[in-house]
Amino acid sequence: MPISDNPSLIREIIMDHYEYPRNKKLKEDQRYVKVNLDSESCIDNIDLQVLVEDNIIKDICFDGVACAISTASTSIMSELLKGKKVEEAKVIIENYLNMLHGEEYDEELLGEAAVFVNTYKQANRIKCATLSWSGLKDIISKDK
Amino acid sequence: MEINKYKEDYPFFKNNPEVIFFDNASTALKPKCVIEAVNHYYNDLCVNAHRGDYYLSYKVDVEIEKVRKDVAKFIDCEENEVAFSSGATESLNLIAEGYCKKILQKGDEILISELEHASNVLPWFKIAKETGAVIKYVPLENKRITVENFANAITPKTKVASFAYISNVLGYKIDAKKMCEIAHKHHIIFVLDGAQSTPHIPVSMKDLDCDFYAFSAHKLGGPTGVGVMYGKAKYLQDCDPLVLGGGMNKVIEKDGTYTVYNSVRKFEAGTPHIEGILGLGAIIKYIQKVGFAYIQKKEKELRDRALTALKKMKHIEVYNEDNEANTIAFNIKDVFAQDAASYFAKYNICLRAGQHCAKLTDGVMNTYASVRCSFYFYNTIEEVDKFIEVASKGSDFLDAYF
Ligand SMILES: Cc1ncc(COP(=O)(O)O)c(C=O)c1O
Repeated sequence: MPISDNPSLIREIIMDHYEYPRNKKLKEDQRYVKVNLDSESCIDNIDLQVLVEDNIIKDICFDGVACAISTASTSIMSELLKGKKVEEAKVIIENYLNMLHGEEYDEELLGEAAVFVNTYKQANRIKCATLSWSGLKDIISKDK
Repeated sequence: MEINKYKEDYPFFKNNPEVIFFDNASTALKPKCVIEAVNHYYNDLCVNAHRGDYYLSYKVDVEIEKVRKDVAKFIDCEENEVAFSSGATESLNLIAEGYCKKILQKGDEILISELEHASNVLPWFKIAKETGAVIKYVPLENKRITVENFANAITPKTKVASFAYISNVLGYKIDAKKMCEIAHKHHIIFVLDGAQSTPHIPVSMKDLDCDFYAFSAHKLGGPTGVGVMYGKAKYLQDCDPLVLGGGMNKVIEKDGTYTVYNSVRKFEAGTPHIEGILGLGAIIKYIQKVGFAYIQKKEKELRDRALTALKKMKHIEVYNEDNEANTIAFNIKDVFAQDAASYFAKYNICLRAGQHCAKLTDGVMNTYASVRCSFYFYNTIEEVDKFIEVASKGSDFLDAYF
């Protein structure tokens, strides 16, 4: 059964990433690109750090204060996209953002990130679930 | 069920019967009379101001000046001390830029606090940068600005002090009159941000004796985009307008010289926000009819009931139970403020999550967020009870997301 059909699993995954976020620690390393992501519509405030080498996303980490949806989506993203080729990551991000906006997407590509499938029904949380993903997209698009 | 006779005056409740609106510190709902005043301009008048060549335009001028008179009565000052602006934000910018900047020199000090709204911080940062003046913060005592700490923060270089009469952060009220008296002993210009005080307590410029005062109409239930800058006449004389244009100049010469009206009109260049000003007039009349005695009694009743219940809940932390105002700042323990606000929103309860608290630790700003619940006199006990019921179940906050 896909994750998106299993409400209790969805809840469990989001809570787990919210309470025990992965990669939530910034690195003291000049090679990383760092951006601050905040939202005009809410109080989420995340610093995102990315290391891209040889066209591969070697590391993603973050820190900051943010809501459960924003924190969990960043944590899941960091696990999912770490080690991916930039081009691969772009495709995954595109599919994720499509899902968030209620457009066509391929769930197979999204792994745990599919837990945010129903966010499009809650317009006020879309921004939370896309903050880091859009931020990462900007970083890796700029690199080119 | 409690009959709140004022509720009927607000079309909002008829159109949104399921909504519980506890975000009154952001903006207040608009009673029918305000909407009618706005419509009156568009239905009956429609024409521009300051074009008194025909009757309707003359009538627009008369109605605008009537509102100026009503505002002057409302805040107890003279008509020639009331300038219309687009709101508290613009008023504060005008006070800083138009007047205070002119009296500041390098090394002079501007005294504010960490409780101020961005609109009472950034204009001061800007003119400090431009003049070489320095921003100083009054140290807080239990989250409050005390008269003693204010007095102690004054130095011979302090030239301007600006505070919210009631802060939007935690709702603490300052002893403005006493502080103003101390400020004047030191020849300090004393500015009050009245955005949060004007809707809830009677204010008298004559009694407070502050030099400038700013507020927005919308926080009382008037239209958005209109507000007031009060300034003592002697300071307005020397205050420069931020915006230049039609309706405020006397003479314009080809060589670039010009003179502006020597009245509050000089701050009101361009076609005014006419319907907004008329709406401001309507809300002032309405609030005076309701009366501050009733407003305060009702707000206290609502707040006390909510507070008593919240304090009994182990999963709720309240930050400002000792304040004087209509607001409660709280968190559901271990829940990010925004998730909490979303949770309440699922039950149609409008609250505001925000970085309402600023805390100085080791010289670093650590901000943390809280949820703010703010009442106005048209709220009811039933609404508060619904809020309490939802709050009591708040530990399952992610429900809102699913
Ligand atoms: C204390 C305080 N000052 C200033 C403002 C700014 O008011 P406005 O946005 O209407 O200009 C607000 C509004 O939230 C406020 O609460």
